[in-house]
Amino acid sequence: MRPLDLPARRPAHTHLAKRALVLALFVVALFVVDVARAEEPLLADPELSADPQTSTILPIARTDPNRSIVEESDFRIWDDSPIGTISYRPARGIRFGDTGLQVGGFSTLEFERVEHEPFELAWDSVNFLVLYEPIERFRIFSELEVGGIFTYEQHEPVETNATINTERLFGELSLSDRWNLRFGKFQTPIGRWNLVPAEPFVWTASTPVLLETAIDEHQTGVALQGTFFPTAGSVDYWVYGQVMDPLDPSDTPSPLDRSVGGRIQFTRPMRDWSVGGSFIASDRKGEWTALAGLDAEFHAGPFELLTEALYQSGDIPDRDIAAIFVQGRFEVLRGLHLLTRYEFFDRLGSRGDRVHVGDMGFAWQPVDWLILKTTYRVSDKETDDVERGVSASLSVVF
Amino acid sequence: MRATDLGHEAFRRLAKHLARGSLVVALLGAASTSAEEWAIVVHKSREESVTLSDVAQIYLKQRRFWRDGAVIVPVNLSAGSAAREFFAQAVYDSDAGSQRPYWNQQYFHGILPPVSLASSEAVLRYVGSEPRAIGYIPERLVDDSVHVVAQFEGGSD
Repeated sequence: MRPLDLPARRPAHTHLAKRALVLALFVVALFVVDVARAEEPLLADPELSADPQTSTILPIARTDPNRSIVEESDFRIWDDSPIGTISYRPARGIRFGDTGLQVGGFSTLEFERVEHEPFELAWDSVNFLVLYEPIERFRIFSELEVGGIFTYEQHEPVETNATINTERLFGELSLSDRWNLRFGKFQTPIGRWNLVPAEPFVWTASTPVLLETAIDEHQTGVALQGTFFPTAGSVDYWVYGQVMDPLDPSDTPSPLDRSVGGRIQFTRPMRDWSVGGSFIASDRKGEWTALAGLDAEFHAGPFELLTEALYQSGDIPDRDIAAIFVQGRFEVLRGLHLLTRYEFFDRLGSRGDRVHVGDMGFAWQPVDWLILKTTYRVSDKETDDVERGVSASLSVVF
Repeated sequence: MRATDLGHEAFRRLAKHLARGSLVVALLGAASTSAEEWAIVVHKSREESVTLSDVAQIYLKQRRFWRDGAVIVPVNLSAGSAAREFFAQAVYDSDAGSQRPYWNQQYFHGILPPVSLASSEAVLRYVGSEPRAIGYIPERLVDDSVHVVAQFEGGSD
């Protein structure tokens, strides 16, 4: 979809206050639902849950148990609707009875104070995650983003530049663990961060430079994905290509025209460590670049170590890049995480920028649906790719 | 021992302590009850062998299909229950809460965690009637409607 043509700009301050109020009410409502859920007894009588004639659980489990079980902890919006029980759970979305339709999403309020520049506060987007599973082995999934809700830059008037974008839209046919065919727009399977780059699901308010400069976030085309299970763990593979014009391409980096790529990843059964490698060759107006990357993740109790490295080279000198980041996370208390990340980033081509970047901060996730993050970035020099300063965000998952 | 070594040792102990913090809480709860064997069960008609590693992958929805091609339906006990903690310790060697970031990330891909039932009796009844399901119950509840594929030790639910 294309950006919406808006009517003449409305008085921004009035609407800012209204939107802030709506957001606040929404957060409070979610909190009330979560508290109610926490206080709700699971089932007063265990015998009740064992009796299919009287249980609130088992009679609902008809043909597809995965989607027709309504858990006791779910907030029931409409028990006896014509399509079954419509229920909601924070950070898991609304489930529309037995239709196979589930709608959730997330939204983020961002604060940024780049060195020597005024601060900026932005309600960046509301993203809706729409899942439709009409049959057991086929699903349609989409992420629709309502973006540019408002941006306030210090000493400047509030700006609103609303857009609607299709971040992802694909159909997926699952034949077995080994064979899954995907068609549409999906995250480019390079490394780990880019598979789940959305603000509420990463641990820092800033993004590694290599993600913002070297990796095309999405592909529009086909992908074959699957998992094999050798004794020592699991091996995931992806083979994909952009075989059509991109759907709602982003501007940075400039959208690619065609591509072919692959990824392989080994993961131990308990996910204590995992390693992966990625490759993509992409074409922009007849100029090709090739990217190869390695990544790894390691977990030990409250520690998590994540690293990604890539090398990109080709016909476009400005896209010749070598970079690596290593990120450590330490959960000091339940839900409170300390973060630190080191990144080396080198533009190998004409610009010749080489920079060392450090990010540090914390993330606090008291409940599944809320995460607050603050990250401070330093670097050994300023470049066009690196902005030093403080980033913070408050994300709600609904 | 040098001062830096002492620092590292203290840090290592702190990390270990924090890592096991929730386990201690779970074990304190379990200490008031007796140890009990738990059984991982599937429908009686399902013959294939399942290891604890398989179970770990099934409950993360990495492994989604039985060998005969049917979709696997993993069933959990309620979040926050002692049984859920015993299961997480036995299968993932970590507390149940440590799976939270994983499932938040899966939500981004439209993949939801296994459903939870409110009691072991409900799990038994469900698995006993659903050929695609897998669940875990105290071994004392096992009857001929289900087939035990693996066991682990925990406390009373």
